[in-house]
Amino acid sequence: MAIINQATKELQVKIVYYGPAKSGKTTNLESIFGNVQTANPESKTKIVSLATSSDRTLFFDFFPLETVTIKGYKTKFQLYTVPGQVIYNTTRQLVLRGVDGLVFVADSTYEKMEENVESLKNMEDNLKTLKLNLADIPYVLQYNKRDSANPAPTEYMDFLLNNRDVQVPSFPAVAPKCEGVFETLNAITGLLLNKFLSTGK
Amino acid sequence: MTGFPQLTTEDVEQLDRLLKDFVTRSGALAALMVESAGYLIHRAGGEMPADPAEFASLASNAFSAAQAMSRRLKENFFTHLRVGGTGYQTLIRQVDDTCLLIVVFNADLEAKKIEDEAITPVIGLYELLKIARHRAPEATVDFADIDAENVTKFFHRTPPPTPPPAT
Repeated sequence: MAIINQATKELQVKIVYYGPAKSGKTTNLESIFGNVQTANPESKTKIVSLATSSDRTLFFDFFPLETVTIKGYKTKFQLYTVPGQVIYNTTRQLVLRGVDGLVFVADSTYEKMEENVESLKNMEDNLKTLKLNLADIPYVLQYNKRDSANPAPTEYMDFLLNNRDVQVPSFPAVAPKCEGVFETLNAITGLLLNKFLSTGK
Repeated sequence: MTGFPQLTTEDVEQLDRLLKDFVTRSGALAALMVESAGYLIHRAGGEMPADPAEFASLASNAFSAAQAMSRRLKENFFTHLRVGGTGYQTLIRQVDDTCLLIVVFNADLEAKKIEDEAITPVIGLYELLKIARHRAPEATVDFADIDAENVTKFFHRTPPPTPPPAT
């Protein structure tokens, strides 16, 4: 749940990047960190990564991002990733606590479609353990690794991952080149703000 | 219990007093009031050797992980976590389901004394949140006059560097 502090005029929002192992969640955060324009570059905080020695996310990656003021509110975004490996499910549940918006990062490689579907199902299940419903949480899909040797068509990925009553925005991406990364981030931000606009919380 | 309540300016002044009194009395380096998902709400004390927002996030997640471990052992009364060190120690104390008090102090201070001293601000914060929750159960904000289209380009990418001209 976002924190709206009217006393200090702050709005704090938590966005979690979810998806199967090695789909590029951490790379998304690194691309944002490396390329985002900030008013004061000196104040840009580093990414905190709790990773294994081989750079696989163990607990989470975290990147606090302070951005422009909206209606006098200083807006702070907390971007998190979860570990993708199946064995870290409890950790994923912990990181999902208090989530406001989700980015599901899918791997476009054909062979990874089953993992993508399982991970999306796992995200829904984990939200249920927190008494949250995916239909009530703003989320977007990112079809990452479009530059892989054998990418599945985006229409097919939409059929597998976005085949619901209400379709959510989906974005092709090549995260290491920062392609599609800001489009994805701006889309989830827009959805979150629209939710604030419509519900006031 | 609902989520984190809305705080008024008076609430923030009161919690600032609570935390500052505690820091002065205990000799702790810093005290942070943190929402359980990791949002830093308020801090008091001197400069910390770490970024407070990062520290708040790490501490709240560490507490969640330790609490989950504890529940696996059927231990349902888990209220605090202390992280020892040679230079600094950290105490993470649960205020209620939505809030944590995080205290950073020098390793040469007695941890038990800090834990005892922390009871006063914990009770004070608990009461403050209870009253705030009763007064306004949910935090809301009126963004009614914002044009959503204008905020869809919230984050901007720095332009890629121009390649040097071919010689």
